[in-house]
This record gives sequence, C-alpha cells and structure tokens, in this order.
Amino acid sequence: MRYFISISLAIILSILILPFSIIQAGEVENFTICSICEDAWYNYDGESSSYDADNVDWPINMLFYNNANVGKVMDIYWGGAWPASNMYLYCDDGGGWVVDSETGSKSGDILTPTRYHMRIYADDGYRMYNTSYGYYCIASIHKDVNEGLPYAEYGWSEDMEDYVCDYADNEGYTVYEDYSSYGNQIYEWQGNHYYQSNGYASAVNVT
Amino acid sequence: MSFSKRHILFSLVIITFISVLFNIPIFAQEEITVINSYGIYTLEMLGYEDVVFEQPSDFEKKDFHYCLPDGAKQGPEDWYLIHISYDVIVSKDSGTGSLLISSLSNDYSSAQIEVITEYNDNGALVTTWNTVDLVNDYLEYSSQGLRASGNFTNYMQTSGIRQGKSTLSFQLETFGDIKVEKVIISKDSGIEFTSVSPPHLDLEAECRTPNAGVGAPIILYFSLTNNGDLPAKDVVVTARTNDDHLLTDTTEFRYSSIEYKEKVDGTFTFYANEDKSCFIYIRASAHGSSNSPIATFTIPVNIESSSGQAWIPLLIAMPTILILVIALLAKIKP
Repeated sequence: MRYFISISLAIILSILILPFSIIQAGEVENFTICSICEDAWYNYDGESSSYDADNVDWPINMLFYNNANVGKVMDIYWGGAWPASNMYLYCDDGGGWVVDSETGSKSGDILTPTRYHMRIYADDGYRMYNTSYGYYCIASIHKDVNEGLPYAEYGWSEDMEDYVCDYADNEGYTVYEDYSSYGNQIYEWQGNHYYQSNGYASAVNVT
Repeated sequence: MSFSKRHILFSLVIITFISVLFNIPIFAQEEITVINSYGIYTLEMLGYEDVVFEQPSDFEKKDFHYCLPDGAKQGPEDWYLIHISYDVIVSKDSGTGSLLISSLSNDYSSAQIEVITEYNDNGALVTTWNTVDLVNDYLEYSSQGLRASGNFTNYMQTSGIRQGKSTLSFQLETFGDIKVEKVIISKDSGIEFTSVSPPHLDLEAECRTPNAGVGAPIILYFSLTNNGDLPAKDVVVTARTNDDHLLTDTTEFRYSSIEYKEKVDGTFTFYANEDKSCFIYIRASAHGSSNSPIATFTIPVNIESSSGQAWIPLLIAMPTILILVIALLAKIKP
C-alpha cells in the first residue's frame, strides 16, 4: 500500500513539474560577445551548456557592478527561484571561457500567476572582477505568465529591465538605464516566448 | 565687562585676516599622508592602527583617509594596488552563512573576501573563504576551525583612484546565520603605488586566404605578445564563428604563462562547406590581463575560387605525372 502511495505521489509530482521543465529555445541572428577589459560574455543565455544562436533563452540586459556578487543581487531581489530550470551563460573573467549555470531569483510563489525571473551569472566564485566594473555579475530577466499551464507565455525582458531598475532605484541604489549596448535588439514572438529587448543593458551600482 | 555681538564678529574677522595673511590653520586638521612615491603605504604609515570590528552587525563600515597627487589615475604608467592582511574569528555559537569583507576606495570596490561557515560531513562547523582578484582570478581556502586569515592583493578599480583627498573604507556584510566574534584588518594593510603594470596582451592576426573556396582551407595566423610587466597566466587564444557552414579542428590555443615581451603564435584552419561569406573572430584573454584583444574577419567563400584553386596544383603536377608515366612505360617495355 505504502509502495502504491509513493509511486502515485511520484507520478503526480512529475506531472506537476513536467511543464516547468519543458523549455522552448529561441533562435536569434544577433548572438555575439560583449567585452570589457579582459572579460567577455555572450549577449544571450542558453538552454544547454553548449548553446548557440539556435537555442538561446533570453537576452542579457542587466549589469550589477562595483561591489556586487550573485548572492548580494539575489538578496536585493527575491532570493532563490523555485521551480526553475538551470540556464547557461558563456563568460570569461580572463583565462578562458567557462559556462555558468543558474536557476536565478524569482518573485512570488508557485501559485502566483505572473512571476519575475532573473538569472544572475558570473564566472567561478559568483562574481567577476576588472578595473572598470569592479566586482560584477550580469543577468537576464523575463516574466513568466501562467507558468506551467497550456496557455503560459514568457518574455517581455525590456519591461522587466525597467521594473528591476525602478526596484533598485527605490532601494537606494544608483541606476543607469540603457547603460551599455549588448547588441541584442529583438522584438518578436517565437511560440509562446515574446523576445523584447532594445539591445542595451542597464547598470545598477551595488555598493 | 561684557562682549557684544559686534565685538565677537570683529574679533573673528581679525583672526581670519591674520590666519589668511600668515597661512596659519585656525582649526586643527587631520594630517593626511600623500601617496606620491613608489612603495607600500600601510595603514600604520597613514597614521592608523589595526582596524578591529568586534561582533559586527549585518553591515559595518570604517573609513580612513589618504591623499593622491595631481593627475593621479590608474594606469597605464602608474598603478595602485590594495593590500589587505585579514584575520576573521567566527563565534562558537555561529550558524551557517557568510561574511563579505570589502575594501572600497572612494566607494569603488577592489576587494571582496567571502567567508562561509557550513557544516562538514561530521556535523562540525567549518570555515571556507574565497577571493577574486585581477591577477589570480578565483582562489579558495579552508580551515577546520572557525578562523580565516590571509593576505589579499588586487589592482584597484579605476574609478576609485583620483587626485586629492580620498577615502579608503573597510566594509563588512553578513548573510544568513553566521555570527562573527572579531574581524581584524592589520595595520600592515594599505595601498601600494607602483610602476609594475598588469599583463597586457597585443594580438596581431591576418587571414592568409583572403578568397577562400568551398572545401579549401581558410588559414588565420595570429601572434600574441605580453607587453605588461607581470606574466600573463592561463592565456587562451580562441577562434570562433557563428556560421554553421564553417568546420575546424582546433578552436583554441592555451599557454600556462607568457612572460614580459614574450611572443607566441599559431594558426587556425577553417573549411567552408557553403559558398557564402563567413565571419570569424580571434580573441585572446589571460588571468590578470588588463585587456582581451579581438581580431575579426569576414571572408568571402565562392565555388569559382574553390574550383580554380583545386586545378592549380593539378596543373603544376601534370608535367611531373606525365614524365613518371613515360618513364614507367619505358621501363615496362621489353
């Protein structure tokens, strides 16, 4: 009997979680690298550890710099993310490319219809360093609407960038909207994903 | 006898006039050391003692002052580095969490030492800590006890270096249930002023097949020189393309170290399997390098040049083949 209950629970749980783990990849034409000092990263994150222009996830559109690290940025926003899939970003803090994987920070809980989801990336050690940005990490941000349901929709990264900037501004951080061009301008629907980016990343000075 | 307001005002004017005339300071001022010659300026030399934080709260910050001469800036001739000698004692009743020690110059960070407390497999609370700096990138340390100590050095953030009075801050932030007994930043910590530059990579690259053909090799040559004073460590030269129709065997060259003025070189070979132009970029990076140079190429690929190139070696080889065939026939003939 106990065995039957365990199996049933596992099946129900799998059915509930399954829609969250189905990931629709995007195709973009402006997949390229961004670079400053000795560091570099790609302008989109991706759905696997060997992604390319044909299976990107979202545009990179946030920079947290000066005295930032992944933990501090998650602390400013919504802590961890559940449920959430790992996504990947190629980045290089000098010394070669590495692939960082992150589930990110997500607003609300599983019952919240619209959730804001930011994945914050860095090389080893949750932060990168160069003499221009200091300690920094970079992020993609999007909105999950009715996540996991058949009529779910995802995206609106540009709107989310504005929201994240306003949020940081209200928390007392210095914000520079559309601080730097990351070359990832896109406004198009692909399936239930709305890719929306003006091609510029905003910067938040984390002290 | 009583002083009227007019008397006081008149006295103040006279005192101010005399002090300006003879350059006498009216109020006692903090003596601020000017960092104007190469060397390490410790906190002690700047007039301070050990910086001690006793049972720090979630956020604490202490400020100290130094002065930089006119025209001071970070690189390319002169460089400023932060040196920190730290000792962290975690409370015995601490939980798991982390402490972030930062050092900022004029509110621009150049040091992050992250101390983490966690339980090991035996259920004992242990301490690990890590740092990220320009030259060494990520370094991790551990101890079986509740103490974390060491030395940290880093090239300071460009925006934090400016002429005039400057503020050096040490900042503590705690996350989770960590409880810290004491943090000591030793008076040996300080700012180094030096002419020793971080590694600087100069990349030269050229395409030796400006008109490639389908299936024919596209050869990209590169040479890389370290023109910084320090050796460039973990150097990587990568060639990448976004074009699906390009094939290659080697996409990166790695060097454990490139010394001052040392030059390395190599070639990347690509093959196109479609007749359309292709985009390739070569990028060099290294731990501690102040830059990561990139060279980009857009190379036209066409069938005509491919077929033409394929016939050239055949035309050259034709007379040799003919002579060999004739010689062979002459030998076979009885």
